[in-house]
Amino acid sequence: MSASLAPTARVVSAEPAEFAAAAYPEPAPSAFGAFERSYYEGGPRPADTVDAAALEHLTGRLREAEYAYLSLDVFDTLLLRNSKCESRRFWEIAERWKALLPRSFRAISRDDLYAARLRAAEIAYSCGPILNSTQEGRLDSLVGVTLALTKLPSDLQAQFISAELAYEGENTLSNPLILSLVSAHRQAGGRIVLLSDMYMSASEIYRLLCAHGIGDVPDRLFTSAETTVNKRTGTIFGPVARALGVDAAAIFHVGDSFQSDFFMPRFHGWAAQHLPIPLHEERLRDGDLRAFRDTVTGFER
Amino acid sequence: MRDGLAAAQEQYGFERLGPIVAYYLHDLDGILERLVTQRGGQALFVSRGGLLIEEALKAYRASVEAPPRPAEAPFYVSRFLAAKGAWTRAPKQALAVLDRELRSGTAQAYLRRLDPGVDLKIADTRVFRSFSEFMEANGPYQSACRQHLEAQSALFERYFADLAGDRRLSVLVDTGWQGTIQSLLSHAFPDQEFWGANFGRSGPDIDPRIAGRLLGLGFSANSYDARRPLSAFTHHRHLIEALFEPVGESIERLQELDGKVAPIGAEAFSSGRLRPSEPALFDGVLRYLRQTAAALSYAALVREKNHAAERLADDILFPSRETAHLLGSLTRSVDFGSRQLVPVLLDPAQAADPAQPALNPEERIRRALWTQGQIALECRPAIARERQQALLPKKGPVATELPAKGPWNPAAPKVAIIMRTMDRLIFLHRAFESVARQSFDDYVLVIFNDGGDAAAVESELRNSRLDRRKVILLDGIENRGMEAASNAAIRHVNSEYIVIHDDDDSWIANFLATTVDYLDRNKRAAGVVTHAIHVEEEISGDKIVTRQRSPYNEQLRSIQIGELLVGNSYPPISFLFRRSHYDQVGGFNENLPVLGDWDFNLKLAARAEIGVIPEKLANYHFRVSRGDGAYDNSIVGGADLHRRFNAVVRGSLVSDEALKPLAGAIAVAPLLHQLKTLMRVQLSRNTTTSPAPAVLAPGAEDRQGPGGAMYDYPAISSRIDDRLRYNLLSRKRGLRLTWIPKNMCSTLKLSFAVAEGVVAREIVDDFRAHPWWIHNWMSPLEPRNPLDLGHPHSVAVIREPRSRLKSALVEKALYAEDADFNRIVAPLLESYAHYVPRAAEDLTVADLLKALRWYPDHALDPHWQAQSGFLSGRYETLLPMNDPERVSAYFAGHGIDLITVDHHAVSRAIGEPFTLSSQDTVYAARKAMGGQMRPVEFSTELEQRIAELVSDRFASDVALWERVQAG
Repeated sequence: MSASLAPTARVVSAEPAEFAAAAYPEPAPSAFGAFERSYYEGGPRPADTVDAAALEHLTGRLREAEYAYLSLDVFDTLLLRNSKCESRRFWEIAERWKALLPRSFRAISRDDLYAARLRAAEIAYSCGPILNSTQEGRLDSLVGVTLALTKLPSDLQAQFISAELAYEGENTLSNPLILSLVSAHRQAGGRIVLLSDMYMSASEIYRLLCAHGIGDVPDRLFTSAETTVNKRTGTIFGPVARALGVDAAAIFHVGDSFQSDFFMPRFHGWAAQHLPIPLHEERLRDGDLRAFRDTVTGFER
Repeated sequence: MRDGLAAAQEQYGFERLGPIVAYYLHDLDGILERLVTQRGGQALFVSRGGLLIEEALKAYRASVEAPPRPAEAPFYVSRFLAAKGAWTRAPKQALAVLDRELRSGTAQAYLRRLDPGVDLKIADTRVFRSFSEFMEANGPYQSACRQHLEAQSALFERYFADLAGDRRLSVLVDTGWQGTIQSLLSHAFPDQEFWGANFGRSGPDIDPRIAGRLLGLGFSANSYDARRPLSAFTHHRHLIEALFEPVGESIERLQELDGKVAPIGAEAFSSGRLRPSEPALFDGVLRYLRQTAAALSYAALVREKNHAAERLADDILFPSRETAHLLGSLTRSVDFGSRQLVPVLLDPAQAADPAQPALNPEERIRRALWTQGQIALECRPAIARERQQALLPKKGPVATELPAKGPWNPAAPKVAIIMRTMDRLIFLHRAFESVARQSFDDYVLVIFNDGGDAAAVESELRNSRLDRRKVILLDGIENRGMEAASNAAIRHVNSEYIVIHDDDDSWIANFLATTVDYLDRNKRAAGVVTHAIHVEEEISGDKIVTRQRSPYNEQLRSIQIGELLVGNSYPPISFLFRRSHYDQVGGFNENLPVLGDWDFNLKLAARAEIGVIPEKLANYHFRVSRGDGAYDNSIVGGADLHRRFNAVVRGSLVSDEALKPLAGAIAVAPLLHQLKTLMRVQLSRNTTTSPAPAVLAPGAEDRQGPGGAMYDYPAISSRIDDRLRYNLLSRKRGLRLTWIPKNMCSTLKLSFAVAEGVVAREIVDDFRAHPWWIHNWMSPLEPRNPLDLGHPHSVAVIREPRSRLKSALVEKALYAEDADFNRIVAPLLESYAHYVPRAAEDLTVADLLKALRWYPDHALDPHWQAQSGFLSGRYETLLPMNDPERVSAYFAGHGIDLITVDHHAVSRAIGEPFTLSSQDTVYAARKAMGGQMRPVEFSTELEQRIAELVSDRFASDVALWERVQAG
């Protein structure tokens, strides 16, 4: 019999003594990720006070290199939303639009406006993904299509947009933690750029910032609604760095979305800090969405 | 007065399509208001579908008392005419469309389709592969074509200029789908802004130039999406096409009359003559628009639409036979120079019509324009439902209103990803990216630093793109071994599922999404394995250089304990398992420095099913050994340990409660491994040789035969494994096996032995008594025995392309009576497709079916056929398999090879009568009629000689077995 065909295995039961398992102490987790975990899992934070530990961590990160720009996400970072889910926000905005209707259009209900708004977003979105997933709807376009679908006169468009901006202003707060970070960066001679994946134009976002008294925060402001590139797909980071005239490594970005504000900017060479929406806040919004869908049904799809 | 079908269609148009069309028309009107009225554009209703859309829109406007809009007109055009029209201004785009539609043809065919009125004597009979190829050959026919295209182009420009006037924006209104006309016009008339306001937008090749202006107001989807019920139209677009298709031919040419450009054939659509080709359906829609839509607010319209859409999706995706008749009696006309009507569904009764080409059910299902509808006509309701379901994405049609999941909960993540590492920083960046890129994000990654430099690992982590919240870094301080490290890491997180991500391996981005979805839906499975890519690489400085990528475990379809006993068949990187089963097994065996994953897999597989996802979702990386062992895989660098602990693992398995009954199998498994080795040697003799590599890649020695011959042993081995696996599967579930090629009999017997551990002794005895099995088993791909056509229980196996055989096999399973049985049969049969080489492309499914079935004598009895429902009377020819000449002539005529079956050997192996029947019903009938099995003698001189040779080779194995048995 050739050697290669010789049986090589036998059933045996004893394990070699030198491989008997030893007892080891349970290892303790390192501090890596501790800030993000505690920020995410920590309880509610008062809206008018600065989380000192968080500020220390963020400023520490900012000092790791000489960053020319501090780049900030807008919604849920610079401006904190309240616990209403998106559907409820649209629903309440539709209520405000309803109040703006001239007498001759009173037959159009809040339901109609809400349904038309969802539909308008869908129509705008259906055109979007084809362009490398980068085209966003725009508020003026959304409102315009909403008006068309409900057969309302187009001259209501400006009023509708103003009503939506006013609503957003009432349902957001400026984030004291981020404002403190902005101050620290400014004192160090740095500049601020805002990046938003949002259907609002730069001027609409700027109006909102002014309404909160923080119109002086941004040196530059880019929104996906106007640039046809966005954070979600990462297409915005290269062009913005070029527009700012700095290397990617000279920008430090902070935002709440792991994909848009951390994963993608890191991929494009930016430094980034993920500042997640806290878990308790996400739970509140999730609960609100479920409650909303219990009461308002039949529109989505 | 309408007949029954027409009345039902009218009602269907009213109830189901009415609300959906009203919704579309409402939004269309809004879009036209915005683009036409407010922006000074024009609406062009594209013939043919757009013309009836315009009719419906007028009816809708009248019912809601909306005024008609100016700047709306019919646009008599087709894709064919648009391509002609764009010929001069956008030749590249026009040629691409003509190529796509006209395909291969002769000069005469091209000329006739371009211009049916052409009168040319054409001598050239060459067949061109495409229209472009034809046009490249300059000649009189090409000149004629060019002349026609240029003339049509010039006329088209005038025609469109007349329509547009001074407007610069045109909205094309049509049924759908990819906006070809819009694309052509956008290229040909760049100064115009073209929008599309289709009912549906669908297709993979939408021109980016128009993508942002092509609206699918009814739906926009390439496939069905449960959250958007109207996307069900992607499975039956012809329903909308038929609804809006008027009587009249496609407009494909322009002419000049009295100094004006006129589309030829447009008079059929003129006012007063425009008629729907499906009047009942269309009338139902109009009735809804007139009676109901007017009273609805926009919100109510949306709700009505949503309600109707859900029911319509069910009708399209899961039609009953009645619904299939209702919506399948529609026809669709083809254009592009062709004049014919295509039925949506094919009438099963046509098989009885000698004038029609005979199609079997599977062919009709494949050819029908509405697959689900044809299935409803061909299959019993329960089976039809299963097949219709199989056409959908995994989740099925059930849509959820609520978000699929709430916020990410770090206290209870779905998956714990365990990554052990020790001084292998070079791999960590890739491993971290592998996790960070996962589309599924409900996980915690636990990294266990098993005695290496913890600070270096943390530094790599900081450079990673991992979500910091989801990473736990544990420092074990000193090396405690892979399995102890795994257990320690697993204790640190409370998850439902667990996966071991070796630090040198990687995943495709949807690995977790796919495997988690599988375990969520298959509650009985303890875990799930995916196929993988085997990546051979080497370290060059601080770089990892990929040398080769090849499929790994490509043939794996299910996990069988018998096979796992022979060797580990999947790497940790491709295996997600349940924590509950991990707990049952008692975790990883910390006493094993190597093969711990194999030990764990065996214990898990002994307790519950392990699923397989046949998609390559993981990368199993192997380094070409440098000899210093620094970055070797454990399986390479620790080869000695592997050999040593192979026996240790087997020994420990015997003491495992779930594996105790398989003690015999555990013992005989190495023997099976040896048999495979023998087979490998045998195969290598007939394999083309290639120079042996200077440095053997890990695992490459498995492919190296005597004298350095290389062959694809893993692939061959996998094929053998498939046979084993499916045989086992059937046996395990108490089902009778369907058929076994003769040369697989010994494999089958071995597999039983290994899986059940009950006939191991007999196996050994049989090796002595009938060593020809080994010969047969050794050459499974090269059957040497003469075809035994005279045997009454032979079965034909066809050498056929995989896909066609597969569909035939599936059909075979579906038409049998026992659903459970068939669930087993289908994959078993399907697996055989891997075994047959490519040949005989022109065979029909019917041929395959006939060949694949085993026909007992009494099956030829028409009375028996009628009583048993055998073949459901679908196949006109039944071949007596015991008539060698007839069978031989039939199959030879189709280029089919036959492989015979030794059922007698199988019967002896399993200790009970064994049938080759493909259906339980056939088996029962045969038994009732006293059918007996006859032994087959294998005593040729050649076999005897080989038998002696092999018996000799195995003498020591048998001796070993006897020693083991003796304790």
